[in-house]
Amino acid sequence: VTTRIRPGPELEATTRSSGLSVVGPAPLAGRRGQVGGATVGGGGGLPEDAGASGAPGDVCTILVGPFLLAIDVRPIVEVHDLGEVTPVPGAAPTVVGLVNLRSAVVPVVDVRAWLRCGEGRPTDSIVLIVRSPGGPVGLLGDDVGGVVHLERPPERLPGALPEPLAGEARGLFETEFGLAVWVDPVALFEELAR
Amino acid sequence: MSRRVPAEPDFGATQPSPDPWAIQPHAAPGPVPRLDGVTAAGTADDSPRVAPEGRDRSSLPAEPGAPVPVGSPETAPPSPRRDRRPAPAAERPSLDETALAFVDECREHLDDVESLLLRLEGRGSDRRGDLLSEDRADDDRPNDDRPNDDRPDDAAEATRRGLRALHSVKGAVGFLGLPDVSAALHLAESLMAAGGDLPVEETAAVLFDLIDVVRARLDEVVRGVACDTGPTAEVTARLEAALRRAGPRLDRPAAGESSTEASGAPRPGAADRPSARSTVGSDRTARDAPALNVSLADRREGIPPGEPGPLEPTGLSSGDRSPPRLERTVRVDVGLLDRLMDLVGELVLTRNRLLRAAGSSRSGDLGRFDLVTADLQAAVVQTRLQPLSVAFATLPRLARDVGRATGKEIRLELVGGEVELDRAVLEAVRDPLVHLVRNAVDHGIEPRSERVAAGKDGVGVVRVRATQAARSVVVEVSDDGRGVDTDRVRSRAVEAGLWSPEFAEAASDAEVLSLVFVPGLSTAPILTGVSGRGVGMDVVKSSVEEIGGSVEVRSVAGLGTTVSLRLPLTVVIVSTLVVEVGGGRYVIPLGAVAEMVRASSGSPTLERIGTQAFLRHADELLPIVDLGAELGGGAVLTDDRDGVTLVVMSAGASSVALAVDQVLDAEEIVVKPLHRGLRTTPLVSGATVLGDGRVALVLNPAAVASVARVPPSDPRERSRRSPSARRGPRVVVVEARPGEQLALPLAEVEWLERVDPATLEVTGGRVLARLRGQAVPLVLSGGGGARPTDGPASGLYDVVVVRTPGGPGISGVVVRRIVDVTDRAEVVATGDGRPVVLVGGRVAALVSRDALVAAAGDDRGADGSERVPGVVR
Repeated sequence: VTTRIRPGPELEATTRSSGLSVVGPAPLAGRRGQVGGATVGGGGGLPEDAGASGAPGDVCTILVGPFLLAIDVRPIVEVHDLGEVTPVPGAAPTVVGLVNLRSAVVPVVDVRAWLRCGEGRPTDSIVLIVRSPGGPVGLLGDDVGGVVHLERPPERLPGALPEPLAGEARGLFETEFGLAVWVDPVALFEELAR
Repeated sequence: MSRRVPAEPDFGATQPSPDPWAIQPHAAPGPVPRLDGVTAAGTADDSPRVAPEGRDRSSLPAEPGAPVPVGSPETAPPSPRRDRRPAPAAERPSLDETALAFVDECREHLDDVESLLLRLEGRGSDRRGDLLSEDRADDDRPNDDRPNDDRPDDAAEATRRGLRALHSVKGAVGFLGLPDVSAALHLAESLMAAGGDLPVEETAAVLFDLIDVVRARLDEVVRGVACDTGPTAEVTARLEAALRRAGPRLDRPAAGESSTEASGAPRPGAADRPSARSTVGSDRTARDAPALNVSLADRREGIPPGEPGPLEPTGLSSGDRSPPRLERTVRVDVGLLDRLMDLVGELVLTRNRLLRAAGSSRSGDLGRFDLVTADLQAAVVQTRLQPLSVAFATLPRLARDVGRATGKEIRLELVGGEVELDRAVLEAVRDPLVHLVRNAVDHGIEPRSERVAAGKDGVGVVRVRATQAARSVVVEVSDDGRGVDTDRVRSRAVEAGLWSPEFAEAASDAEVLSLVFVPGLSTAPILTGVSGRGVGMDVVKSSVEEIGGSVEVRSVAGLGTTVSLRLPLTVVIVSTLVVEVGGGRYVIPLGAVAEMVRASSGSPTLERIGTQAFLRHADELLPIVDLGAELGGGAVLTDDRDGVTLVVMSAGASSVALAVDQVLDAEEIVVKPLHRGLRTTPLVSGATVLGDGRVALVLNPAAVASVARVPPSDPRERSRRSPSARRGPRVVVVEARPGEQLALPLAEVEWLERVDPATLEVTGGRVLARLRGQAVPLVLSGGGGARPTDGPASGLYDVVVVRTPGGPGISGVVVRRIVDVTDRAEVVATGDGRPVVLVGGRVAALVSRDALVAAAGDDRGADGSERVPGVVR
């Protein structure tokens, strides 16, 4: 069940309760609400030099175990409760199963399992719905942070990240909540075929 | 309602979603490589036609006047067909709607010219039959200049219709800014009108090439890519040469159009017509009519005055004599139809949920909502139906081309083009049909000399026949060729290491024939010599199975081969059985479910051979597939269970029993595609959202059946479980009146149902039951005192649901009792010629569906409600 939360007191409350706050041009992020919008999700917030620097412009941060990941905000559709999951026989262990997203069947990848951090699923987890070439995919994490507008290119990786993050991380961002690791969700989509 | 659908790009940009953040389940983000709507419009352009391998447009001689051999079988005309793949959506520029409508129309006319040329050549004699049925199915096509009320049997008539179509194309390409194509078409008209002095094959060969060139140019226009005028110039030169040979008097077009059109200049006002999509056809026809009538006046001798000649189409006459009629059809984007279907599917599911929540306390409004939803669903399903002739359309040309390329004479017979299927099914079956016909001509039919030596007619017959069975359509592609030499396939299977010699020895012919679907094996040269049917047969199989159908091959060496495709009527809303396995829920298409059996452990019906369990059922040993184990959960078949629930499923020729934890319900579902990148077990073919909002996986019956393909270890054992060895016809035995049994072939039964009288409703004198999302009118069975109230003590009616005789819908026949569903019935002829079957020592009259309904209808009063005690409303 999706609850769309418009920016307002409710959103502020959720973001406060999760210990995160929203920075950047548009406070359109929040738990179990839509991420993005006309100003952010449409790619409007992309800095001029984004292509050259490799910085994605706006990113959404998602808390997974001890990691704070940053994902380009443009392909993100919305944030969701996990709800009821139907396991898929024959799928990779990182694939939690299928969820019903307004009558669309969406596979969910457990980012915790992908990062090998922690057994089992956190009781209160969120699913970030992201567009992918084969259809929407859900990314299961602990909590969603907010949309961060990036003005500087990412910092270089220190080289001490655990696998598989080391292979997939494309840079680090300093945010209000600490260092976020910028990952391309494509690596997570590949889990579906594994 | 129109089934015409436009050749229009269908991608996100043209259909903005009301909710920009809504996920489009069927559409990937970014440019969707969607085929253009031509496919749905029934034209040929996307089917991979047969063409000499490796030939494409670039291999065509580019210089005008280059010598191109025509006419002889050995030199089949080169054709630019391979590259007629529609453009990816991303390449499509903003070609305006009017222009696209012109392109559509051109393609339709070109198809017509092609089929008429085939008629002229005497090769496509049966295509017309399908054109007729197609016309009947959508006799309201915008281009009304095709007669639909006659069967032109003479070449002159075909020529005239071809001329008219060419003329229309010429006008349209002029509008599209292709003056060179327009000029070539002008010559083609002249050539076609000339006829006489040239052999028809020669004329046809150059015209076929012209058609291909024009199609290619139209594709270029749609894609907005640079024109390649070389082939046009080349075909123009050939047309000119042919015209010179045909005689000097014939270098002017027969239809007598203005030179403006011939030079390709746009018709004034054509571009600014606001609603050109639906009106161009009739508009132009009316404009062309006078000239056409004049030029053809001399050919109308013998037709009584005042009576329209065979040529004169309705569109023509109405243009002359009466005010323009309102179009009865509109063109609708295919994407919109799909969306409509999706939405109706969701509505049906929501309705089911509401009804479930309301339980038995249905208010009047809810009942009405229920019925309206069912009607809406039926109507939307109807809009998506297209006649199979759409998929047949490319076959005559294909058979001709392959026949010429291989030097064989082929007669292609197309039967059942009027059978209607959901367009998604039609799309899925189009390529397999092309493949099968090509295979039949190329590999099935022998060369003439071989046929004559074998005492066969020199002309090979390839027959494509469609018939509608209970809930499916069967399309058979058969040939009277050499058939598959099963012994050679056996030895080939052994050589390839696929089978052991002993196994090959023991394998039945059906098992041997199943090898044609094994990709690597069947393409081997030795098989090509035998039949070559493996080329792409695996693709045929997978395409058909993907939509829930099945494929079966039968062959008799020396006599020919038949490939049957069993297709579902629709793939969008599917009736399924929901089962629970290992805590998960799975759905099985009901079309594949034969029976459900509950076997207690230790029962003699359960047997084991090695590790494989079997169900002894109806004199047959069916292998049991333990779904729990196959799907990665716990095994269902364990010793500590009291019993096991088995779903007997038939997929193609093989039957298997699925062991499940429990059968939950029958439910109508909308199949949702899985994420394209998601790896699953092959047993799963899709997913769906059930009535309670949970996702369930859809099982692929054919894949499940293949799990159980256990090699027969012992030939004697094999013979015991050889399919249909001792089977009689499958019949449903019902007790129509006390003591009288009737047997109805199972194939004529949609499904069986038990209905609570309290849920029935009376509307307009009809008694309706809501069954599986449809409002089904009930007919009471049995004359005299066969009231359902005499039936079982449970107070429920046993209902046999069948297709309404002569109607599109279904009806439920209330019987006293459904006694059995069996294939152990023995058919016995009786003295009076009426067959009876013996079931369990008792006699049941074998009746058809129509007879059952008619017999029941005899007893129905004017007010059906009186016949159904317990109906309150």
